[in-house]
Amino acid sequence: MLKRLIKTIFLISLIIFAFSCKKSKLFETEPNNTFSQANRVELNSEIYGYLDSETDIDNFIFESLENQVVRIELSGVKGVNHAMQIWRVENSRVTPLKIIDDNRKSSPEEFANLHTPPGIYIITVMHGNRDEKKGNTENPYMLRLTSRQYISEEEEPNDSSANANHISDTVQITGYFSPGQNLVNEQGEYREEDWFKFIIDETENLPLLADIQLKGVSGVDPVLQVLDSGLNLIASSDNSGPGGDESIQNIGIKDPGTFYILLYSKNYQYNNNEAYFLNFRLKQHEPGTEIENNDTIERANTISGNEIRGRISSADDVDYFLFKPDSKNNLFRVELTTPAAMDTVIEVYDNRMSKIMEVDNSGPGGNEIIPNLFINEGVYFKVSSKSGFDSNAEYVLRIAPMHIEGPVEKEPNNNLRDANIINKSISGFISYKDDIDYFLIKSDSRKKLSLTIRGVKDGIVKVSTTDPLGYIIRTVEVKGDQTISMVEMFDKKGYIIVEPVKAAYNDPYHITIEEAR
Amino acid sequence: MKTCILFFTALLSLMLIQCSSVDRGSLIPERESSDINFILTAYDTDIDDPSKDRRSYYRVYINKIDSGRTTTGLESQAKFFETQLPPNRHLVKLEKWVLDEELGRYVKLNNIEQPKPDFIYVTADKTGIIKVTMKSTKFGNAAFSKVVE
Repeated sequence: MLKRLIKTIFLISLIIFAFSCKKSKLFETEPNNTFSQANRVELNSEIYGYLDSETDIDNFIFESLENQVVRIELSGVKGVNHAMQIWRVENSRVTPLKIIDDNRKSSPEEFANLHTPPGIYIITVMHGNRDEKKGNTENPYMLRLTSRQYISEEEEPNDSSANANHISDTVQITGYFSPGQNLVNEQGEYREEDWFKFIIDETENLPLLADIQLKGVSGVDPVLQVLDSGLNLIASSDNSGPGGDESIQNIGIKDPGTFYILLYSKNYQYNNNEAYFLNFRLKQHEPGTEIENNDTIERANTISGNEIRGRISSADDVDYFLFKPDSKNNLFRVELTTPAAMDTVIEVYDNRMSKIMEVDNSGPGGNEIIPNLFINEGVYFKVSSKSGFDSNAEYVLRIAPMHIEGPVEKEPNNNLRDANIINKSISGFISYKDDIDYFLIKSDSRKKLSLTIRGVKDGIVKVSTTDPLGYIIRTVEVKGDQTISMVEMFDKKGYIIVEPVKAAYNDPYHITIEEAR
Repeated sequence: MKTCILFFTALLSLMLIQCSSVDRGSLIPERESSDINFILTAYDTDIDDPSKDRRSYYRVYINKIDSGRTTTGLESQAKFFETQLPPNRHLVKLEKWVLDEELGRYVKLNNIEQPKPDFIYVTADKTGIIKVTMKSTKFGNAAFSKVVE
C-alpha cells in the first residue's frame, strides 16, 4: 500500500516537473511605445505582451528577407478592444499599410496575408477606438507571425486603384477577405478591398473580351466589379449570397487603357482561413458574340450578319443589340434560342428607341419567337431573363429574312389607331402572347363584304368585325388552319380584329375580302 | 283593369308612333342599286333623353335566314337595310342589338325588350321596290308601314 502511494506521488511530481520545464514564453520589453523602441520579433515566432494601461502602445519590428507572405495573429485580451496597425519602413520613412480592428472587446485580431517583400515592418498593438480604453495587467496578448512562400496571389495591401496588383492575360490568383475592416481605406467606408489591374496597350488586336470568375469562401458575401481607366463602373456581379461565386463574362475591351477589378465583401464579412480564387482570362472577340457592357440601349452591340450569341451572367444583366437590315421594309423572323436555366424575354424598340413589343411566350428554357418583324431602318433588341441566369450558357438571337406572298401585317397594330389597312387580303401572325391585330377596311360607300379567313395552324383565333367606331358586331372562332367565310356589311369604315385563343407563332393566318353578291 | 291599362298604353304608343313629328320615312338609304327591291328603315320615335339613346342595329332574318343587318346608329336615328328579294311572299323578322359600352360590343336585347311585333310579310314582284319602315317606342311597341314604288 505504501509502495503504491510512493509510486503515485513520484508520478505526479514527474508530470509537474515536465510541465515546469517547457520552453519559456518570450515577453515584450517595455518601454516599446515608439517606433524607435520597438521590440524585435522573428518570423514564425510568438511574443507576449500587456496592454497594461489605457495609453499603452506596443511596437514590434520584424525583417523580411525574401518575397513572402506573413500571417499576423493577435490573441484576444479579456475586456479589452485592441487593434493593430502595420507599417513599412522604407528609407527611414514609416508608411502605414493597414489598421486591423474588428471593433469588439476580448476578441482576437488577424490578418491572413501581408505581402512582405524584403524590408523592415512594424506592428503596433494598441487600443481600438470604439470602446473605452482600459488596461489589463493580468491577461497578456500573444502576437504570432507566420511566414510562407509567396505564390500567385494578391499582394496586400492592395486597397486602392493606386495599389492595384497587376495581373496578366490568363491567371488564377488567390486572396483572402481579410481583415474585415481596413481603417486606412477612407474611400471605401473602411471596408477591406482587393484591387487588381490589367493593362491593354495599343498593340493588342481589339476588341478583346475579359472573363472574370470568383470562387467564393464560406461566410462571405462578395461583390465583384470591373472599372475602366477613369474608375467608371463597367460591370458588376453581386448575384450570390454568403459563400457564393460571382462571375462577369465577355466584358468588351474596345480601347487601350488600364482596367481594374475590385473585390470586396458585404457587411465587413471576413474569412481568414479560406482563400478565394480569382480567374481572369482575356480572349479575342469572336464575330457574332456580344460584347459587354451592352446593358443600355445607347451601348447596344451592332449585329453583323443575322445572328449573335450572348450570355445572361447575372440577374440584372440585360443585353441590347442593334440590327440594321441591308435593305428597308423587310420582313424578318426573330428567334431566341434560350438555355435551360433561363426564362428569356425579348423587347423590340424602333430606331427612335420607342418600344414596339415585348415577347415572352415561353417558360424557362423555351425559345422566344417573333414570327413577323418588319424592319425599316433598324431596330434594337433587348434580351433579358425573367428568372434564372447562367454565365456559362449562351443564348442565340437569330434574325432571318422571310418572304410571304402578298401584304403582311405590320406590328404594332394592337389598337384602332394603329390598325393596318386591308385592301384585298392580308396575312398576319400571332406575334406574341395576347397579341391583338387590328385591320381597317375603308370604302367610299356602304358595302357588303365577304370575308374568308384561314386560321393559324395548331392555333385558334377569334375574328371580329366592328362598326365604324370599332365596336364589335360579330365574332367567329377559327380553329387550326380551317377556312371560314362570313358576310358583313361595312358602312364606309369598319375593323377586323384578330385575337389569339390558343397561340401558335410559326404560321400566319390569312384574310381575304371581296364584295359579296 | 290590367287589360284596360295595357290596352290604353298600346293605344297611346300607336298614337305616338303615328304622330311622330320626325319624318324619317322620307330618308333614303345611301345606295340604291338597280338590283335592290327591298329597303328597310328602322328607328325609335320617342327617345327624349340622350343618355337613353343607345347605339344599336337590327339583325334581319328573311325567311328565317340571317340575311345581314341594318347600319348602326343611335336608336333615334334611321338605320337601313337593303337587299334583293326574289318574287314571292317573304317573312322579314328583325332582332334588335344595342351597344354595351363596357364590353365594347353589341349585345342582343332580351326577348322581353325586343320590339313587338318584330316581323312583317312582304310580297316582292319583278317591278316594284318595297320600302318598309319600322317605328318603335321605348315601351317595346313597334309599327310597320310599307309602300311599294
